[in-house]
Amino acid sequence: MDKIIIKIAQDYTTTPGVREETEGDFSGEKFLSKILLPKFKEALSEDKKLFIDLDGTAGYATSFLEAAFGGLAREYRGAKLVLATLEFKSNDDPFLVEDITEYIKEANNK
Amino acid sequence: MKKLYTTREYKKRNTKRAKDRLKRKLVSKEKKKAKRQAIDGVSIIEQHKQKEISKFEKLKAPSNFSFIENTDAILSYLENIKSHVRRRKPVFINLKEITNLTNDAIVLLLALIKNPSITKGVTIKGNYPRDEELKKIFKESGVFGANGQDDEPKNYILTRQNKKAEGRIANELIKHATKIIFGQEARCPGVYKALMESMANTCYHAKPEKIGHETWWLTVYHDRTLNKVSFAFIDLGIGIFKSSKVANFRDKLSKFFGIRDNRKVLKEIISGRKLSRTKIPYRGKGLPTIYKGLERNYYNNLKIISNDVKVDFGADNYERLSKEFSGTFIYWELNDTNTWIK
Repeated sequence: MDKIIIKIAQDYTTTPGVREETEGDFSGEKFLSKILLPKFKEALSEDKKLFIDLDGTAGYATSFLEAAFGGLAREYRGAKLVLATLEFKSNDDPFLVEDITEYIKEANNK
Repeated sequence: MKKLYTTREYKKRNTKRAKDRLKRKLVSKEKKKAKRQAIDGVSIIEQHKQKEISKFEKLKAPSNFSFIENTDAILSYLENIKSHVRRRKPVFINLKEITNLTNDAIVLLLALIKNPSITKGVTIKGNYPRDEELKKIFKESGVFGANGQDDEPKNYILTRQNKKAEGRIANELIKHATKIIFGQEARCPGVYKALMESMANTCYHAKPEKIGHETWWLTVYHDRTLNKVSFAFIDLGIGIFKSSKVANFRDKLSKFFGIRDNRKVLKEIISGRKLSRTKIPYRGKGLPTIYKGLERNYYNNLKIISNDVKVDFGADNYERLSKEFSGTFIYWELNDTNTWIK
C-alpha cells in the first residue's frame, strides 16, 4: 500500500509548540488544521496510509500531540479509523508512539 | 542694666540655659567630628551611595539562600520584602552574608523584583554576596541589573522570561546545556517536553481567563563541580492547586473520598487514572508527563513547589509547607547519564 508522508521537522517546524496558537507558535491545533487533517483526508480518499515521521524536532509537548492526534480522532468521532490509517516513526523518542496512541484512544472520552 | 537681669531667679535660669546650650554644642561638635571621621577618605560618589542606601529598608537574606533546601525561610523572606513593598518602602536586599546559593532562589528573586505588578514602582536594590563564587553567579543572573537576555556567553547561569510557550527558547537552552554536559549541541526531547509543559502550565494555571498574561522565568545553571545543569522554572500565578483544572479534580476527590490534602491530590494526579486509587479522571496531562520524564530518564532530581506542597519526586518525599507559595516552581537536573540524541 502506498503512503502519504508527513515529516514534521521539514513540513511544519523543528520546534513544535503547545496546544493553541494563543499559547505560542507552531501549535498542535494549527498542525492539525493546516497539515494533518488535509493529508489524512487525502490518504482516506486515495486508500493510502498516512506515515508520520516524528524525528528531527527538538521534542514534543503533550498538549501538541493531544491537540493534533487526539483532535484528529475527535474530528472522526473515533479512534479506530485514525489508528488504522496512521503509521509512525519515532526513533528519537520511542515512547512517543505509545503516548500518541493513548491520546487517540482517549480523545473521545472527554 | 534692667533690674530683671540682676535678680537671683534670672541668674539661676540663665546659667542653666547657658550650661544646656554648651552641652548641646559639645555633643553636636562630637557628632560632627564622628561624622567627619566616618567619611574621611570616602569618595563623594560613595558617600552619595551610602546616603541613598540609608533610605532603604535593609533586609538580611537567609544565609542558606536556596529555595529548595530552605523553602520556608526563603518564603518568609520574600513575604517580608512584599510587605515592605506594600507599604511603599524601598527595599535593600542584603545578600552579603549568604553562604549557600542555588539558581532556584535566583529565579524566584527575579520573578519577584522584575515584576511591576508586585513591585508597583517601589525601588528594590541589593548587594552581592561576599563570597566571590556566589557573587559571580549572582552578577551573571542579572537580578540587580540587566535581565540577562543578551547573547553574551555566561559561565554559570542563563535566564529567560516570557509569557508564552516558546519552543525556540526551550531549544536554545537545551543546546546550551548539552554543550556543557555532553560536549556537543544535542537534543533532549524529554527536557524539551518538560520545558514546554511548564510554560503551557503557566498560561493556564496562572489565570485561566487570561491566557498568556503571566510571566514565567527560567534559569539554567551549570554546576561545574558536579558537572550537571539544573533547570529552575517559576511563575508567580495562583499555583497548581488553585488552577481551574486541578481545583475541579480536587473538589471531586474531596467530595467522594474526603481527600483534601494537596500532597495526596498531587499523588493522584501523577499516578494517572489507571493506577489511581480513586479512578477519578484528571484531564490535565502536563504534570503527569513531567513526572514520567523522571521515570524515562530524561532528567533527574525532579522537584515541584506550589501552594502548600513541596515534592521531591526522586526521593518520593511529599512535604507540607508552613508558608503558602503562590505560584509554581519546577526544578530538574540534567547530567551525562540522561537520555540525549544528536
